[in-house]
Amino acid sequence: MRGSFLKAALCAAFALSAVLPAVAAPAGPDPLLTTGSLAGGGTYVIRRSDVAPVAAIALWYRAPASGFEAHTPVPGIGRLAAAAVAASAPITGTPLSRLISLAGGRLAVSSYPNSVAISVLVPADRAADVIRAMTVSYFAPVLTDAGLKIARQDIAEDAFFRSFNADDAIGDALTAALFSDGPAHQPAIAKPVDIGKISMERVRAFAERAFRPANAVLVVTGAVDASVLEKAVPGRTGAAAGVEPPLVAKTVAVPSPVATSGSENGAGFAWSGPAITDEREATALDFITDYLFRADTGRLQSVVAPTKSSLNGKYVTYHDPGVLIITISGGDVPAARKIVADALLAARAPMDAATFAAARSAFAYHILSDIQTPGELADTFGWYTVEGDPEYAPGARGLAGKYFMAVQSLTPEFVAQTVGKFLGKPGATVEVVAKTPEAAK
Amino acid sequence: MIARSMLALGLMCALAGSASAASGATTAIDLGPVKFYAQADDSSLLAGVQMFVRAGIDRQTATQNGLAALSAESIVQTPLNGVPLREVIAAHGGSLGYVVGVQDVRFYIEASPEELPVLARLVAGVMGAHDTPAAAVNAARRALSARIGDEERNPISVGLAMVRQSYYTGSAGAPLLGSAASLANLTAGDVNAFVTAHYRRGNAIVTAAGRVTDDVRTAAKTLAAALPEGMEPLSVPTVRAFPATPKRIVTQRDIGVPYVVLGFAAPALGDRDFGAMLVLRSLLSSAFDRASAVTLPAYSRAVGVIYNYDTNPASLALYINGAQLDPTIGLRSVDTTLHAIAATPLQAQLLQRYKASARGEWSTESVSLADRAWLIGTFAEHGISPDYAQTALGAIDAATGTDVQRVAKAYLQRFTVALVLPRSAKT
Repeated sequence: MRGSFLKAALCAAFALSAVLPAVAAPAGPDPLLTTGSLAGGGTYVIRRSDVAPVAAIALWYRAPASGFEAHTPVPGIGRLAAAAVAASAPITGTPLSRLISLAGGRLAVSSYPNSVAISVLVPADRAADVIRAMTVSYFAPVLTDAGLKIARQDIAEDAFFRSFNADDAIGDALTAALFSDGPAHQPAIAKPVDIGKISMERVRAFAERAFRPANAVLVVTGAVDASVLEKAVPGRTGAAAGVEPPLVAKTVAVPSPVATSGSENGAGFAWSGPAITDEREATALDFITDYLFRADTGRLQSVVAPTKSSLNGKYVTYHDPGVLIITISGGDVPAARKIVADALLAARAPMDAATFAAARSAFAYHILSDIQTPGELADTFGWYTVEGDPEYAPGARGLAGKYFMAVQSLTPEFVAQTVGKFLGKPGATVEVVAKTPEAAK
Repeated sequence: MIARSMLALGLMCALAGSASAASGATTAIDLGPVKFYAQADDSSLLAGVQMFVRAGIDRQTATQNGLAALSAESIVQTPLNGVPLREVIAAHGGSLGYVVGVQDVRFYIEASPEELPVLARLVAGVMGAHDTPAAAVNAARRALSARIGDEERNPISVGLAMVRQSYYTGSAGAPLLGSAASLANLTAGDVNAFVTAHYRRGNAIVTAAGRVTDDVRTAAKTLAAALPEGMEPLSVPTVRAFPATPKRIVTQRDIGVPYVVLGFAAPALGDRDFGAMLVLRSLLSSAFDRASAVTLPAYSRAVGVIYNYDTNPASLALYINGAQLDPTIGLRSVDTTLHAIAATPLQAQLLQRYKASARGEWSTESVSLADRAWLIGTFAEHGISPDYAQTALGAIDAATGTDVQRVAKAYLQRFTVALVLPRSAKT
């Protein structure tokens, strides 16, 4: 078995050289990528992609998910504000959410500790109109009572369903333990009952600061060219200049173990990792989490399967620091936990060359597969721009870009060393006990 | 990497205008007896190749429930030097999957173009051997049983299977993956006999999407050559007529809220009513939702519509989410709406509105390489232009208010009702 796999893996190692560049790529522009400054001071990224006659348009903002007032955090205000603007009728015209619905498109609002994103997917021939509508809506945000009410309902419903997701609850508990303050210390979304308590005044204040033109990253991907930007409006006069500074989260030196109750038994681990600009280390942690935890193909997924536990693991490349987070829920949690702990310990030693080569080849493919649609590309460019390293975005300059060069530079020794460096220090741990005996089964 | 939850937004789960560039047209390439269609775009870093084989569940006999799926899964589980084919493909930096349908099974390989010839040779070697070992069949049975278990916990999947079974007669109405009990009775001999009998080159179709290079064309040829010569005869599944009073089917599952699934007949691809039905799909799927800031996820939608145009005869399913809409009230509201649509033509303004949303939904719902490769082949299988976007959008544009009314009358007045209830609920 091992020898046979070795043979297959060696073939794969050879194959990787066909996928990734063998030497450092010369610096040069990406013919598919156009970047620049918006009239109102923000930045734009246009990545051409002819995969389908659609366009993904995303507005990304560097803004704390729990608000700018660190001493009085409001979990979920970033997402609520973005949704409320989408649902509010501007002074003239149609609410953005309605416009997208009528076009048969899709609109999503996401928030992360350091950022808020509004993402739209529409037919390419609607891209210019949608860029105009999005810049009108967000660069000079109008909020109505009706829009806020709709947004509250959306988010309360999402929070309700999220409350049944053990992995989300474990993730919130882990980052709350890992960080001493800042938006990552707060839950990603408020409890349904608390969402209604966020006042219009606070939502408006957040929207006007966060969504100002100078703080925007407008990402457009798909079957479009730069001419679509002509429809973008510059924004309102009097808006503050400049982009919000990056948020550097403070970690707890030795996080205390957390015990809590939830919808089912569970456990979690989290460690702070390298900053986004430590590209090789960040890529090494992306690689190891892909190898061990990726759904369907992760090596531990089949090992954990008999325990009936759900296992997730990922490295999230925040500005500084990133977070490696692992959650286990349902089934025989102690057994799954032991499997994970043993695997993480083993990962501090270098993999054999053949296993590593096959894993790296699979990893490179997974990244490429994850950025194949315009929507996925827009998410990727938005995220890496807002977190502070746009050149490192997978997909920037294709296989010759920084991300895939970092993949190419990985070695078994470097991955093991990086795992030891970051996972060898104290991390956060969470133990969840099911609230009811039935759920514990 | 980024927080992947974001990518599960609604943007996941495929028109060009003044500012847009033309997307690649689909080209037909002669591979001898096998038809090959490719939609190339140089901005892709990957390519996907899909092979359609006429070995769907309609080829099963009454005692072979699940054999089409077991055969396909056994192929991907077949070991090469001890490692299952799917894992060997993954170690090469690619992926291999399959989907079993009523009339075909589709194998899909995705990788960088340079890798595809190697991967295609591996898949072709297994597919052409007709010698699946018992161990691979056992592994396939376990994998399928797990998937069946997952689908049993999804009320929409359960309801769809119920209305499909009620609509199609014979094996075409059987569960797509079989059942744990039926799979237990199938052997490696059954699998090899099924593959030998039905995996034929004659009317197979190979499609590709993405960065289509000479390597990709080589891979397509290799896959096509894996199948022995011979023509698997075309079959048209037969269906049951809907009674005037809706037939009601009830089942219970371990789910939280009740779901109601209505099953209708629907025009097939290439039918003159296809465009009007896409407009109706758009109308019905938005008519019952509340106002929202974002595109609602499935669990928040009151009503959803699934148009199964890839099978001929086609069907349409409408589900009512009991968490959002009381099933009794929802059923009455849907019934009233269906009668109203059939009674009068849509006003011009409403028609334009729903045609615009139908165009958008069609364009944005199939964007991935796998989905595009599937659509190309599905259209080609039905004998219509594989330039699916132009075909479908043209059909939507051509639909009139009278067409929509006529299609609502012809297809949406008779249906089957499947009730999927929580186990604790009283029927």
